[in-house]
Amino acid sequence: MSGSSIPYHLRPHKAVDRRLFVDLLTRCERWHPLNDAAYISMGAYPLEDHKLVHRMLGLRKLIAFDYNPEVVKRQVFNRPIDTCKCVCHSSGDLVANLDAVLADAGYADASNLIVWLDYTSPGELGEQIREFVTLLDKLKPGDVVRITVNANASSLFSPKPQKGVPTMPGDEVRKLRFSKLSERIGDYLPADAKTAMMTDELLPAVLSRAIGAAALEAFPTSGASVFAPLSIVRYADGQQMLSLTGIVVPRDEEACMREKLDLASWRFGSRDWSEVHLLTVPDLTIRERLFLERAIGTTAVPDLKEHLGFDFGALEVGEAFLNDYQHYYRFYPNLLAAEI
Amino acid sequence: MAEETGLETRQKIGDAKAAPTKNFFVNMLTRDIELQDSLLDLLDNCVDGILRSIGEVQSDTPYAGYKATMTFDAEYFIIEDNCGGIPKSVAEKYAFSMGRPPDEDVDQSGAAATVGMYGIGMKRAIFKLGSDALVESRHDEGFTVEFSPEWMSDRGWTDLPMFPLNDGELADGGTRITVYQLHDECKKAFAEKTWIESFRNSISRHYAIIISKGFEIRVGTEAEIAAVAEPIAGAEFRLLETDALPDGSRVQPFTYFGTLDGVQVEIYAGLYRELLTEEEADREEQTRGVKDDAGWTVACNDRVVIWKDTTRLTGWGEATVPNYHGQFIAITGLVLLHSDDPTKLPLTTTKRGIDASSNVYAEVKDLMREATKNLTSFTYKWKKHERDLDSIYQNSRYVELPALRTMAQEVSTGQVRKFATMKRSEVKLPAPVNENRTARVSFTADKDAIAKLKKHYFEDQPAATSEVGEAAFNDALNRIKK
Repeated sequence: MSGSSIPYHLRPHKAVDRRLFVDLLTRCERWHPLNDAAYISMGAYPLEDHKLVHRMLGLRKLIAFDYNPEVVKRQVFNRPIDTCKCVCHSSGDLVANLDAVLADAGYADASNLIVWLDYTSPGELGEQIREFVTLLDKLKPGDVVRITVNANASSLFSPKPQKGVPTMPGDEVRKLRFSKLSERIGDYLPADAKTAMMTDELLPAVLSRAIGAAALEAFPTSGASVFAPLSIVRYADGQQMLSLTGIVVPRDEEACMREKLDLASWRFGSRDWSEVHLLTVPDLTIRERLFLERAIGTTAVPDLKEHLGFDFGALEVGEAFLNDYQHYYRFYPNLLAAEI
Repeated sequence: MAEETGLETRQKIGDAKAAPTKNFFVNMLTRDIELQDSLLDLLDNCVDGILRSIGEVQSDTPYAGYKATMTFDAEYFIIEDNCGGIPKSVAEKYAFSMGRPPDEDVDQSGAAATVGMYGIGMKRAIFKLGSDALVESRHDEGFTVEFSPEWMSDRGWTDLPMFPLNDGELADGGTRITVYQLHDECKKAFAEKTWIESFRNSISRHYAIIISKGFEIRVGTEAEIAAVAEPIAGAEFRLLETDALPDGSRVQPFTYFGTLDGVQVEIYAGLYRELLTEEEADREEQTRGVKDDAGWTVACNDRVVIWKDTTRLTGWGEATVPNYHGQFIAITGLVLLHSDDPTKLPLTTTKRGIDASSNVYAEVKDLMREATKNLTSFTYKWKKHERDLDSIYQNSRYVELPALRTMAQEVSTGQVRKFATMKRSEVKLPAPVNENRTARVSFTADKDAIAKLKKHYFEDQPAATSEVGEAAFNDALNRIKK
């Protein structure tokens, strides 16, 4: 099942990832104010991220876009505030005409831009990265960009088992994946990328470095500014996704910016393009969640396990989650069934 | 001998020679430049001479009355101009030295938007051409300087003696360079009329803007020059413009206007002809059929350094801009970069191509790509709606460069958010109706079968294969609907 076909309310990773993004934006404000920035993203029909940036950061210059005119009409119905403009554009058209889109929305005077390119289709990775470069070409210091791409290794290639029996050795599968990836983004692949990296664990870092190479194309070393990575996270609600957030910063202010954002103390901060964090958000019952919320941060993990009386590590969730939970429990979404 | 460097004292054991060899300049450096580019360098010196003479440029044709003549022969080459001449003091200090000295030694009173910044053009051209040359010039006090074959082959960098110019030789403000003992490459080229013709084309392109400002260049054999050859006409640059459609959209040029890092920037992009039909585009993919004026031209201080380029150098195939191919044959663009300080321009020493490390050009290229991308998208959108294309060419007309430049200042009112010092025109190109609701159907079929269908649907009337296909498609659709 592709990420895009899972209903929004059943994507806890995506919900947490989105909250982390907004948390990061509030940190960005320690270096550069964003209160007058325009926010642009696809948003899909519920416009969750538009709602969040409005509530948490007070942004009012919001633009949502979609290629499908019917989705745009649904966005218009769902928009959180009147100043949220919903426009019909493909992402390619939007980045190609960014200045015109802003002018048409009446936001040409926005102090900065925050743009989230939230892609899902794995087959269009090449186009997606090139659109990202086109977008970066038009940005100035203080602008923030987040790009989300599919990072599922099997999306590159996966053999069809016959009658439930595997038909190809793993090595061969990874080789075919690598050639597919080279075909799509060969220009940007790191020189040391190799077949063995075509796994769910290692592919995200390869993609991340490729996106870093693409950013360098838009902000070459001869220029005054750089696109600095701030947070790179991989997670899976079904398909594994990779979310990268960076900011345009004058080359000589990068160190100062990083110091002010204090990303070293932020669990999901990235210092360079190869530092990818895994985000695991397990399904928790309300009872588990409330217990963990009170105890986490003050109780050692072995003691937590003892109190719980069972081991998350032995379940599908994995042990790492207990170590990470304290860093994002604030953003854990409440998903409740309700009769309305 | 002991030498103190910082805290340690080291014993020197010898000297490593670091001076440049003359052989490098005379025989090696010349390999990096094409013969034609080398000759254009001499013309650049003429233009720089004019700029030094006239100071601030005020009229549209500041170079009117100034001219240069190049005479080609298998045995010699002459360039003569009336562009101001070389002041004797300049000749003494640096006109004949290799490379321009640091600014403090140079008289900057005549500093202007020139293209000569390296101080290498004349010398390199002479070395490229032959092994015996005479430079004569009259600005204040006329002089002659000879690059003799002995000096050329000698290892040392002895100064060249200057002699007074005979009375009556050269009018005031004139310079003449004569080169004998031509190298083999030049002998062959100069004896070939088609080579001279191609060099004229080269001048027509690279000097298009300078010629349009009044500079006259004549090039030919001695007989042609004696017969008063016509000056070379500059290549034209023009873009298509149409009347607005009811929705306000129209075909019109993209313009950007402003300054970046101390460089005046003007960018013009658009269509120089109507879009190709699908059949024409298909043919174009297989073989070049129509005159190709597509691509980007870039000029620094009026000197064209990139002519009709369709590669990554000008942004094609970069980011989301597709690689150039036949479908985009109608797309063209011009970039004019201007600065009174030529070191700010992305010029290379050969003045062909661009200094890739230039930040100004990287920024300009962002805008060039934006325009190209919009224009390529425009051709894609209309590919599916070829038959409606006629409707967009309402009252189409060409806008020539001078009119474009005037227009740019008026229509460039939109903001470029990345560069506060740049403005852009707000262009709304026509879009096909129901663009998103349609898809293109295309397939190949047996010619006899097509002929049969054509007969069936149209009898003997002329019809394109696409029309036959469409008739069959609609027929099948109607039958299902029934």
